[in-house]
Amino acid sequence: MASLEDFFSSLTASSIESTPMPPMPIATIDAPLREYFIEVLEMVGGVLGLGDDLSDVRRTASDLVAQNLQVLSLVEGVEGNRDPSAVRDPHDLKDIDYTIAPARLAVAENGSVWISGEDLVSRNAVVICEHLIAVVDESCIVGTMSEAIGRVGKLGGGWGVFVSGPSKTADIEQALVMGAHGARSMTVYVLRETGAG
Amino acid sequence: MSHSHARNAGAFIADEARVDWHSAALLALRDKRDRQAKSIPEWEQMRETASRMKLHVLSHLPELLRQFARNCETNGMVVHWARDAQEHNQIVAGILRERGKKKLVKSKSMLTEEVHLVPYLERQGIECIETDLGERILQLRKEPPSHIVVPAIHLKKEEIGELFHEKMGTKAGASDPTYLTHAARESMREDFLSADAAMTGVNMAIASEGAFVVCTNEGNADMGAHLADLHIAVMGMEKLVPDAESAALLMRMLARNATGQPSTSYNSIFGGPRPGAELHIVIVDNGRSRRMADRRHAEIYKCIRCGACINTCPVYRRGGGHSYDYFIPGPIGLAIAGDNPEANSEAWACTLNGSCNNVCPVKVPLRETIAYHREQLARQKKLPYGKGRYMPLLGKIFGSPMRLSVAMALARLGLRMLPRSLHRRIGGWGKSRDFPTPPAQSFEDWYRKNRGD
Repeated sequence: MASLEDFFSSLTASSIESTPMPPMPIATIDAPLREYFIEVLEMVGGVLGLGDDLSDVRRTASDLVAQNLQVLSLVEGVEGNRDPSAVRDPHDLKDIDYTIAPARLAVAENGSVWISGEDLVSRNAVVICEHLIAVVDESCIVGTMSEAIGRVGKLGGGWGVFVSGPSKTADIEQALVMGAHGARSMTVYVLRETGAG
Repeated sequence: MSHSHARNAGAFIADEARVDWHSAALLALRDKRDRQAKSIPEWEQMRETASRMKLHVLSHLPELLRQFARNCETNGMVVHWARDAQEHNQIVAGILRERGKKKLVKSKSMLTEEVHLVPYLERQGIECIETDLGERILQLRKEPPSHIVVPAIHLKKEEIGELFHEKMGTKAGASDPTYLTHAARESMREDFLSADAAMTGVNMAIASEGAFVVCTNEGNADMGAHLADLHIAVMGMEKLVPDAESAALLMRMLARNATGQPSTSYNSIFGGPRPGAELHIVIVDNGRSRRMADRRHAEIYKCIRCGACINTCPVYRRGGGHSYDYFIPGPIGLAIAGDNPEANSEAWACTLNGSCNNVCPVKVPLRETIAYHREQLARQKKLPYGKGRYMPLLGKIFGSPMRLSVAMALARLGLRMLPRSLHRRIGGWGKSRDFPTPPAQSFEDWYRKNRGD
């Protein structure tokens, strides 16, 4: 097995002249972010949730529960029928139909939402479910990934994911199919600020 | 497989309809990529920045690697160093063996193809499941990928339908991509749930954070890594970026340039293991430091593996991924390994048209690197296709105006007088092409008559 010194002994001199770090281009989007986000979200196969208030998400959750589906809600103020605190192991989530998760950011340029592991009872809650519902505040929409990365905070120590639409593949003859391994659909509720949760 | 690219490609082009279909599928990816690139006003500035950022990384590799490793360890990961393929495979097998792991679910990693990890682990009795749909299809067919991003692009849905019927019990004759994809989803869901270890590649390793990004469309990396209590991530040492902003820059470019999507469905950023689980990272050299030591070869390690150079390459599109000797096909594969004298026709599987250079998001000088390999192989007297014999002769002819004008006069006469069947035998070039009808006189004669004093 190579030690650190063994490994680095062959790395002493770079043939590439010392190059300074370039400044990063300023990347932003000069358009109404909500509309831009929704347009790209739909382009990547996502769906905009109907309504812009938490009560709309609550109604959706109770409709799903009424259909006897397994609903795990991790959004405060929205009730599912699975107790998040009862999750002991990621395998416990294998029969989840819907995960409702809070997103800390939405990115207009690629229709993605940033979901932090800190907000999930288990990291796999966003992929193992049949369908994902993300809830984000309108004020948390940013233009580009460059802007988003500045707002996600420390990456070391935790885990998080930018999710852009449902799980998909085009590995068979380039035909786009939703629902490869992760969620078959992604719905995003964009909440307007109402002053109350 | 033969070591002659021309011979291997010959097998693929025998089926003309399939070649047209293959070429069109790849051009469609190129079109989608162009549309995305044009939708971003600062795209060219991003390419230039990404290129310089990667040059910065390559010229500061030891300190950035140390910083990355230190931060990963602070974040609770275990870092391993592998100088070559064998060390890499021993490390991975060792981690699995010590913990009694028996079943590994993998997401796509070109590195594991490079070091032949799967056959190595299988020989040790560890079951490995490729979970990227394209990779899984090829694993079941016992075939290597023909592309680094769309590994099964050479296959027809009917062939995949037949394979799944045999291996997964799908309906006989069924070839609908949605039906087949969902059948694979069901089958692999069981594998995810029963696996006791997961492996992913690394798209960007962020030195300042001790975190890494894994990009997938299928969500397979996340499915595997968050279920098993052991996650092993493997990376070539060039995957490093200095900071999160640099990773964001590449996340903006990778999927746009690869498949024309604004992003992969999942950009998953791992900054440490979840409580109660282990996260190991294996950093691999395997020839990288040797290639980086040669300035004219070094810039290949700016590559972020988007595959755009492959999609746009006319030789790849019409010759297929399996015509190449190296496991990475197309321009980037030639630029990495076109210096291999064992497969010395590789560097000639290229027209030097430079389309690859124009689409590369990090400005790897692909054409120049491939031409450099030819130069080196010529110096070593290892030219393929008989070029070692006729090239010096051509050099003499082109070197003298008198010799050239005599030769061209003979060629004009020959093309007019000799039967077409004979043209076909000239250096293989005429095999599927006709020479143009020769003009009656040379350009020099024409010029003297029409423009001369």
